[in-house]
Amino acid sequence: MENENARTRNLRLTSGKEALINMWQTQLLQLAEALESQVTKTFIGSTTSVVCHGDLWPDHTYFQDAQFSGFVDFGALNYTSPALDLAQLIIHFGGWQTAHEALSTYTQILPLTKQDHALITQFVAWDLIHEGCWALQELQKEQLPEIEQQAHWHNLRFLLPSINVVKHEL
Amino acid sequence: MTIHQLRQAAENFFVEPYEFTAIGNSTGYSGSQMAQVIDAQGQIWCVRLWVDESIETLRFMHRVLQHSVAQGVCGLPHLVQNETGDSLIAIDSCWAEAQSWIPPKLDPWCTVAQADKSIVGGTHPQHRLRSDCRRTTTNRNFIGSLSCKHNKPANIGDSSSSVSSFQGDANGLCCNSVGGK
Repeated sequence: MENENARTRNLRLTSGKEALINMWQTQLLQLAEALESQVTKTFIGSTTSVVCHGDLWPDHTYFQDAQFSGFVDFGALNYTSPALDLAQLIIHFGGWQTAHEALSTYTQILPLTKQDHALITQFVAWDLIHEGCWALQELQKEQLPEIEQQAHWHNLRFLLPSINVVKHEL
Repeated sequence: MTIHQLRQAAENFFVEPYEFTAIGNSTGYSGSQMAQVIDAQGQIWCVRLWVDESIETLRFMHRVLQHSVAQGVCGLPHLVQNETGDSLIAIDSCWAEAQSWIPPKLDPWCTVAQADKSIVGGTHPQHRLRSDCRRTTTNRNFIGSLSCKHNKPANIGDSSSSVSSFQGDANGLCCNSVGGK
């Protein structure tokens, strides 16, 4: 009986993961198409330029208890629109639902141009595609350590709600 | 070979004695090869190898970091310079750097082989780090914790007489601003 329950649980878990993968595959294609049509448009207008970390995600950002303690890994450091870091900050630390709060806080320090705002959505879309493809690819590896598998599944669940909204924002 | 390169880099940046631990596959550092060095003063440093990046990219990165740290921006690593004043050294076909240890604890994804841990050099208490790293450690003066957004050095504009740095231990970090002599 106990074995039967465990088997049922495992089946439900497996089908839940399969459903998640299927959703991602469908959403990624749609997002890529929406992004493609967007980037081919000609933008007129200037961007602000600042120094950007360029690869902002939780593993590159350290906290001691609840307080920020530092950044690591500056290999993607860039002098470009703050849209790059803002997009990564939004998508990796709170999801697209935190975009408004993040941007209104940032613009108190430095105003953003219309072009910067447009770029944020594009960078977010690009990052979602990158993250999604990476996670799906990694999860196919047979020898992937359990901790990495968990991290990728978490990422896929966490980022999925953002895709739909971003797709329509593009 | 990689551990040998990391050891070579540590030798170039630090004066003995120090504790050297090779660490592999840290996601926080994009899976690059790195080592942790604890110097005679107990400060923790990170030695990292850059394999694919060009020297121009790395020099740009170091210039930005050094400038930002000198301006008192918190949350950035302090770069170590060797005795000739270089913060990047060429080892075989890659580049190596050493910087203050930022993570409060080891990334759970990284691997530490105990066999790769060793004490290098003697135990003479007067050993000091080289270059600006020496100034940092010998003029240590606690100012504030990392809750600050900007922690400006005592004498901004005179980078030769002031230095802002991170001090860390295995349990945490604090951001220090150190006035020079």
